This record gives sequence, C-alpha cells and structure tokens, in this order.
Amino acid sequence: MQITHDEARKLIQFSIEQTLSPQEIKTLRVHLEDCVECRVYAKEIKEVESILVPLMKRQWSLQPAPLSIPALVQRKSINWQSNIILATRTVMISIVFAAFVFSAWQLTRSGSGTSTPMPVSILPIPTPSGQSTSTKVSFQNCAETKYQVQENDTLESIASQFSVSKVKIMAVNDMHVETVYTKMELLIPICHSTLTGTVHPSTLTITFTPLISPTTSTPGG
Amino acid sequence: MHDTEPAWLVSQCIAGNENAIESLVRQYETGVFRLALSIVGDQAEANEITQETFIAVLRSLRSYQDYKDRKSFKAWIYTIALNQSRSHLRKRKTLERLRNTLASIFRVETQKQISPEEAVIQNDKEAEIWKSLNQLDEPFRIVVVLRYFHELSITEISEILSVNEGTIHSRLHSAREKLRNALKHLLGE
Repeated sequence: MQITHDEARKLIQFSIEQTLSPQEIKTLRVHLEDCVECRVYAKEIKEVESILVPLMKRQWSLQPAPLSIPALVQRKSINWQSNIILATRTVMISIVFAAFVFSAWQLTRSGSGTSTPMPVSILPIPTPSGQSTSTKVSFQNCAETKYQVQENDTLESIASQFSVSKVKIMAVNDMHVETVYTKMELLIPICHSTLTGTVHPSTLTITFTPLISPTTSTPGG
Repeated sequence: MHDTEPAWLVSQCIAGNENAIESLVRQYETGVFRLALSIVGDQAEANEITQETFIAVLRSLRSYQDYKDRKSFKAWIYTIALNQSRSHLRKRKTLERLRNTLASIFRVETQKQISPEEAVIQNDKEAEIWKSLNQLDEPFRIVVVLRYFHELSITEISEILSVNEGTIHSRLHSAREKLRNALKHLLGE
C-alpha cells in the first residue's frame, strides 16, 4: 500500500508512542525502505528524543527539600483559622458599610423636607436678609375645580380669574395650544398657600444655630 | 505504601492519621517537586509549590473522596501541582513585566545571571533543543515535559490536563516538529 510523505510522518510520530497496528508498521517499513527523506525525518525525530530526554533528566532529577509533616498539618489548620478571621473581617466591614449606606440614605430622606415639614426654629437661613424665608415655610394645598368656558373667555382671562398660571391650566388639562372654546370644560388647579410660621423677613433675623440650643430670634432693625 | 491503596490512604489522611499523611507525602513529593521544577525551573520555588500542593491536597481530600467520577489519585495530585505551578508562573511573569517596565523607566541595566540550568548544557545541540523547548507555548511544553521527563502515558497526561488523547497526540507531534526544526537549523549552519 502506497502512502504519502505526510502520512508516513504521522506514522513515524505514532510509532514513537507505539500505537501502530501491525499493518501500519508494515506499511511504514515499506515506505521507509524507498524514501530517503522520511528516513532522515525519522532519524531526526529520534535524535531530538535522544538529546532531550537525558538533558531533562540532568536538569530536573533533583530531590526536594523534605517536607515537615507537622508543619503541613499545622498550616492546613492555620488556614482554617485564617479563613474564619477573614470571614469575620468581611462580615464586620459589610456591617459598617451597610450602616454607612443606611445613615446616608436617612440623611437624604430627611434632607428632602417634603414629607415632614421642618419647624421654623431649625431652618438654616444663610443670610440675615432672609428674602425667601416666607416661601420656604409655606406649604400648598391644591384642589381641582371644574370650569365651563363662557363666551368671550380666553385662557388668559380664566387664568387671571382664578389667579393660576396659564401653563398650569394647560398642563392639568393636557392642552397643547392656548385655544379654548365655549362650553369647554376645564380643570382649574387652585392652590391655597398656608403659612406654618409667621416669619416676616423684613422684620426678623433668623439665625441658624445647632440643634441643641433653641433658635435665637431677635427683632432686627 | 503502595500506589494501589490510595482509597485507604485517603480515608486515613482525612481521619487525621499523621502516619498516613506522611506516607502520602513521601510517596508523591519527589514527583510533585520535579513537576513543579520542570514548569517553573527554579528549585526554591519548586519546593514552595510542593508544600502548597500538599496543603491543597490535604484540604481537598474529602471532596476528592466524595467525587464519584474522579481521576486516578496520581493524576489528581499532579493536576493540583500543575495548577499551583502555573499560578506561580503567572505571578512571576507579572513581576517580570513590572520589573522590566520599571527598569526601562529608570534606565537601569539589569544584570542577567547564568541560571544553573544553563550550566548543565554541554553542547550546541543541547543548547538549541533547550532553547526551543522553552520557547514552546505552554500547552505544548507541558505535554513534552510530562511525556518525556515524567514518562507518563498519553492516557495519564490526558487525565491530568483534562484534554482528550487525540489533542495530546497532536500537541506532541507539533512539539517534536518544532524541536526537530531547531536541530535541523543547527545542522544547516
């Protein structure tokens, strides 16, 4: 049976591992008798092995430093202890981190100030002029009233009638243009401002002080 | 202790019998050390890897015992040793890269030391083969080392590396080709 050089080379390689069938050995032998090139190849592969194996043995056939069994057993158990220490540390760090995140969340929540109105006494006011203090202490109660558009009404006239901005009316009624027509039903958002404190910026100076001491309110001049 | 009794040995080691642990360690320590040495090429590091391997082995004996579709005991220990060696090699490569970077930044000339390995090489052919062996990609080099130095069978190598036997054959073929080319290059000069 005729085989190619490549096939012969594969068989040479497998012959090293002694995994060839008797038939394959015979085929290879027949090929090698006629093929100088493959004989050289086989010789070179054998030479590689003959150099490599003793070289590796010279390099690496060394003896290890004998291991101490008690030290091994100890290190094995030490590792268990260190695992426990590591686990404890991880848990503690997680708790501290969770506490930090929780307190930060709490601060943000209380800082928003919409759900729980802050008493006037602890409001931080940066400047004595306090021009915007009255708006800060006011809270709005809004209700929607139905209004039927009369003849000659415009969005502007309705807005001024109810003291509401045009934009608010348009937003509540989902309007895109300002056009209104007679008998059109509009929802008017009417908001009543309620003051929780009697703060008059022109007459009062409110100073922010720490929570422990009460706020100092002095009549300003 | 015989190689045919790992099941007994394993259960005794799990029970904490120090004599059994000693038997196990003495039976495999040379093999593990030489495997580590052939991968990392440094004796001190190989000793360290041997110790780490046995600590890892002792720690995971129970899971080895419980694992139904387990490897042969020798293959299992060699796999652990190989993984430890690879991890050392990775760390060393990272350190070398860092050192080279620092050396290039500060323009420090690092003096190349002659390793004990190089001292053992006797002629040009050996030097050439050794150089090509170390230039082989890791999967090819490991197969050559396990086959020729540790004299493991293809089946054992495939078990250690968890790769099928066909792949081991093909890696060996191409590794031999590369080594032959290195030698051929020398003869051609």
